[in-house]
Amino acid sequence: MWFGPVGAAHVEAELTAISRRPLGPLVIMIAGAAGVLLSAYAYLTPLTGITGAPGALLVIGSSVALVVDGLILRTATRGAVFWLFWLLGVLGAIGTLSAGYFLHAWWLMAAILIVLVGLGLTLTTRRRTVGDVA
Amino acid sequence: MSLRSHVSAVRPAPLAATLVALTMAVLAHPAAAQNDTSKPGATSGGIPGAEQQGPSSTNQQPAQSGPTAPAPSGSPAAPGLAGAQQPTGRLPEQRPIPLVPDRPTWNTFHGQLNGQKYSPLTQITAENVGSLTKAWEFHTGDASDGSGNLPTSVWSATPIFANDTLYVGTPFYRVIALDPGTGAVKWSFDSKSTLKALTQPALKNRGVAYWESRSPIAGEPCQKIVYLGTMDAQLFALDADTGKLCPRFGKSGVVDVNQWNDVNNKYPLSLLQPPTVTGNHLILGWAGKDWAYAEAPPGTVFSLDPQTGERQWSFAALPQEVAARTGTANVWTAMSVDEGLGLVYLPVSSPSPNYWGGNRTEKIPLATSTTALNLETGEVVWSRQWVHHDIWDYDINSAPTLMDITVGGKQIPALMQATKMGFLFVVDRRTGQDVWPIEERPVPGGDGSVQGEVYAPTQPFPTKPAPLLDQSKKPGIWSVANMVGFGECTRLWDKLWYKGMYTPPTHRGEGAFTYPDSAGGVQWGGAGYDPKGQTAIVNFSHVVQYIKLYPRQEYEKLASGSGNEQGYYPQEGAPYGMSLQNALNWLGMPCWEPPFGEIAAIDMTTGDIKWRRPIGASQKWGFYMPESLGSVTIGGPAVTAGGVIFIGASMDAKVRAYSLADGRELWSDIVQAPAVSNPAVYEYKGREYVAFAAGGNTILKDQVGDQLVVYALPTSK
Repeated sequence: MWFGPVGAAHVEAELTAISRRPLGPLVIMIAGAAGVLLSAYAYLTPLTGITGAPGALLVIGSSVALVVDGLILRTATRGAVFWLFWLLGVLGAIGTLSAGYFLHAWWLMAAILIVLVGLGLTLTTRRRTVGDVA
Repeated sequence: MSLRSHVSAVRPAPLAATLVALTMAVLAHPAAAQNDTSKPGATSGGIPGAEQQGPSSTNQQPAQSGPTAPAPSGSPAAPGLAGAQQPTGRLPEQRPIPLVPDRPTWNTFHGQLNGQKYSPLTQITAENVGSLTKAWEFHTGDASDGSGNLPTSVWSATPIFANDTLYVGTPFYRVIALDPGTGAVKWSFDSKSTLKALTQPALKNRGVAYWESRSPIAGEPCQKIVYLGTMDAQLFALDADTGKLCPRFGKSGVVDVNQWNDVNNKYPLSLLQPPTVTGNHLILGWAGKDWAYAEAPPGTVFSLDPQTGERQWSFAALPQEVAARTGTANVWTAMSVDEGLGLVYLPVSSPSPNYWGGNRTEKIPLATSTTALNLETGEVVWSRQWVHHDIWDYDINSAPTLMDITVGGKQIPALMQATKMGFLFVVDRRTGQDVWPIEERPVPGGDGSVQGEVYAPTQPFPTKPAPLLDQSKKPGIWSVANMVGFGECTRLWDKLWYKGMYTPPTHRGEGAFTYPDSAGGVQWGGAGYDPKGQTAIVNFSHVVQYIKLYPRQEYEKLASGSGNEQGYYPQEGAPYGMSLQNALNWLGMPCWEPPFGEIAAIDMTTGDIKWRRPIGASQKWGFYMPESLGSVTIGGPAVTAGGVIFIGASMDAKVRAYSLADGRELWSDIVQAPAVSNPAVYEYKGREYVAFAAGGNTILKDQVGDQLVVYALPTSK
């Protein structure tokens, strides 16, 4: 039974589940959330150098966007939507990384570097998963 | 950095002419300071009466006739009037008081009366400053970002250490006395002063002053006094031990300085800079609103009895004949004092209005000058005018730094006057004569578009030290800002009129390119000095602005408000209003080439620059620019015998330590807002502390603070 049509469907379903819950997007979401917390800390805490600064608000927003991006990548199937949000994720991460550099937000930069790693993992994971399904 | 590429040097006057001028100065009628009383109206606005004026003369410049500093032959075209007070050249009897205090002292705005900002303390050194930690911090609660009912606060107070207490004034006009080792409040005093921007566009305070009796009477209050001035011209005297008002001082502890504001009384004589306390004198200038009116209160300086507040003498930089139709030429910043020589040195600002001089075409020799007064009488001993017929708001804005230097093997009691123009004028502080030649050189005249204006044909240029800013050519365009602005900076550069340094304001086109400008060069933090190494330390800004004059009707259509650093200025009463703008692209990036701010060390035995480097980082919306670009600075340094320079001053709200030897950055910390005064260095119970008031200034950026932060080495070390 496991290897009959039902079993094949089960395997396919499992592989689809893997493709929908790859490691990469999870990394993006966790690192992005860390970026949100770190940016919010920098914005709210006195004497961070960017307390209350519009630039800190900007990276709070861009980190939130990266979390959302990870969520979309986690659920998106292969196709234009996936690639659009993957590309937006890369651009957002590079932008946030640059902003972090000019804000002297070094821990934020570390978090966003992990986001970039997550974006890379997303591709790797999907390639393998999609290849297996195919 | 030759200045001769656009102006040619003028040969010094022949020696004979110089000697004649000197002789005339010495024989001139004694200076006309008054020994007056505090009675209102005893003398008008403190302006000396006619009987006290020196003889009228034409084209006579005070003490500008040193052997290497010829009196300018020209200056404004109209006949000159007598100076408000003719220099006597007569030095008071000298007293054996050393220029540098024989023990660590930080009891005035610049630490010491000599303006050196120098501490002989050596616990913190260039080697261990990296381990500096925050000893304590205190928040006064007195800050406003302008979003509520109160104007923005600007807190430029240097904390002062005296009576085993750290005293600070606040922009809400309170005084707080703190334990220097812990920051615990000993007492506080609230003047309940009106919190309105009556003159300056922000609530400003530069701290408090301290006096103590040389022969205290046991059991009597107010043998030690702290003074606080307010925006509405009230001077408070408080017992330094208790914070209670001193009943003998003025009326129940308060002197209303505005009682002497009886010429062009357009606004109160704001007491934002703490008085200078020396011997038995409390010497105070005031701040006004010189961009607002052509006719304004004339610049007066008062000496008061420190215990009673009675007026001892007064000084006015404007000749009585012109005072009513112009104004200011006031002293709004700190002064310095050589108690041994018995001289107080005044940095005198420009007459009003700032950017049009058609109402003051006569020579006003004491305006925009360094003027030395006899401490006891207020007589003018000598004066050097650094800008003739100032129509650029080049106020002399910092206390001159007094220093003993050795030049060519000869010891010279010198004075260095830092300026907005980036010039450092060095003279003998006994006579005002040049240490290194200061040359009168031709400068551009007008373009004929401004009615009633006259132009000084020459201006003084020091030959050493070299100018801090390269004024010999139009500054280059910063390619990054130009690119971001899609060529905006190039277009602006092409549109602005520029004929070299001292290009005057114009009505034509987009206006005149001004560099250095009134917000650049050295600001009121002044220069520091290490007397051991004979090294001066100075921070300065590179800023490009542009000025345009508008005929009154045109101006009224354009302007919607005024400020004091940029924007539209009414110059009410003058035929022209004006605009002053920073040369920025659409994103607010400076169009001119970096660095935007530097700090330099100058070998005062040769006048050569030992090292210079960008200081701090520019910051906008939280984004830091690379430190190699530097930051515009407001505030000044403190120098220690430990080989360390402490300074805040930069946009990025960091306080830093640099190596005195080579300018390396050794330490930094983030504070609440830019520290726009001088740091204070003091020793308490065997531990060396460095204190910064992080109050911010809207000239730098919209960031305010109420933090007093104090650093020391960890106690375990």
